Amino acid sequence: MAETTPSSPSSAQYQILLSLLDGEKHGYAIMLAVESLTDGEVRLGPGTLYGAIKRLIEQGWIAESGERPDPDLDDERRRYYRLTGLGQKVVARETTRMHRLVRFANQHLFA
Amino acid sequence: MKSPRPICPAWLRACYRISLRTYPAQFRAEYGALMEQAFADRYARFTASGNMSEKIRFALDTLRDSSQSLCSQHWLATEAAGFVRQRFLLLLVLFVPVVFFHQNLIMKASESMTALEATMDALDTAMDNAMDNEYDTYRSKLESRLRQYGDTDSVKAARFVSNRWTTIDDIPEGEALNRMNLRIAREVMAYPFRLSLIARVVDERERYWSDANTVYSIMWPIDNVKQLRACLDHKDFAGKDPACLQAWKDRRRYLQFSKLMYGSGYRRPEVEEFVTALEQNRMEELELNYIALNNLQHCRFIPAQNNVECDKPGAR
Repeated sequence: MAETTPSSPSSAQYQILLSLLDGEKHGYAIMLAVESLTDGEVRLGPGTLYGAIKRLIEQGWIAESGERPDPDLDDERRRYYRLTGLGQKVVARETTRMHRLVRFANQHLFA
Repeated sequence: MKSPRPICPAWLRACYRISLRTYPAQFRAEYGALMEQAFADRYARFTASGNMSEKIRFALDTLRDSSQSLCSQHWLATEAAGFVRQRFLLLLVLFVPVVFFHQNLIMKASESMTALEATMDALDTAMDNAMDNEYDTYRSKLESRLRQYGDTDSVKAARFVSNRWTTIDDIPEGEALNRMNLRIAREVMAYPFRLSLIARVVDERERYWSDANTVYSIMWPIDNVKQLRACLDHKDFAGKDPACLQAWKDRRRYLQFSKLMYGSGYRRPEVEEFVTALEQNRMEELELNYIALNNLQHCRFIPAQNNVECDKPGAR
């Protein structure tokens, strides 16, 4: 049986993790970042987003951030999320895996 | 001045809040308020353009998102609770009709969308035909009036009007031509449909930077833009509201008019941007465009430099 700990992130989870690489964000900012990362192809709705966030927190890949970037400028009801150390490792591992797949596809498609 | 960002109506937020009650209680307690906030933020962004298709896209997106996440959250909740089988059966009983209804809803929505598009296309075609007839009638009237002058120039002008009167590239050079152009200009100016621009273009053919007043006078009035924006916001241009129907008719007329302008070799970036935005119903942009056009009134054409100087920085 393949190793499952830590498991691979789903597509939506991976995009959320990527969006947090450049700093902590609240939910709506994550939605916008994912949309921008995927050129508008992936539009996360509130249900999908917070479902994925819940899962990511349970797995310890992201965590709620205690600090707010600028409390004066923002709605205090928003919650910010940040990548954990484990989350960063998962992103790095997933990215390497995808890179390997792309390299393989390039070798066979365009060789 | 930029128009304020649309706010999600309270009733819509309340509807979404009620729909959140279908999520598992623990998930709802933890993320319900955040989801509601994200829903309102998304609504504001999707509807900022005032475009009806964006609103429909938002509604379908929300339906898809809710139904998918609802299933997955209930599924995860049953796993956590440890009684998969019973809850799964319950979900099956509850969600098969929901999914069925959901599919039908999407089909109905897309059918309505297709019907709406067909109506708009039919309206466009009818307007185009009406405009063509209107121009044909005007062209023949103008031609017969010019022929009544009897002199060579007028006969030439009449022939020109009869054939390709909107394409100035085909007009020969010379003083006689200038006289002919002026005569055409006077005739065209008499036409009530603001074709005076054509006349000015014929008169000022080499002049790219026409003066600010000319530019401003050919623009569709800002009140029309506001009216059409209101109609598009309320989706009421299917003939129920006469003002909306009129606004839609005016829009068609103006677009037809702009095609004539371009056929005449007239080019001005602000006008081109305006026409493109109007064609795509980007009404908020149109209102902003008016500010730029207003600023043009602080500018004047310098023929020697073939350029424009503005009193107000950045007005051009």
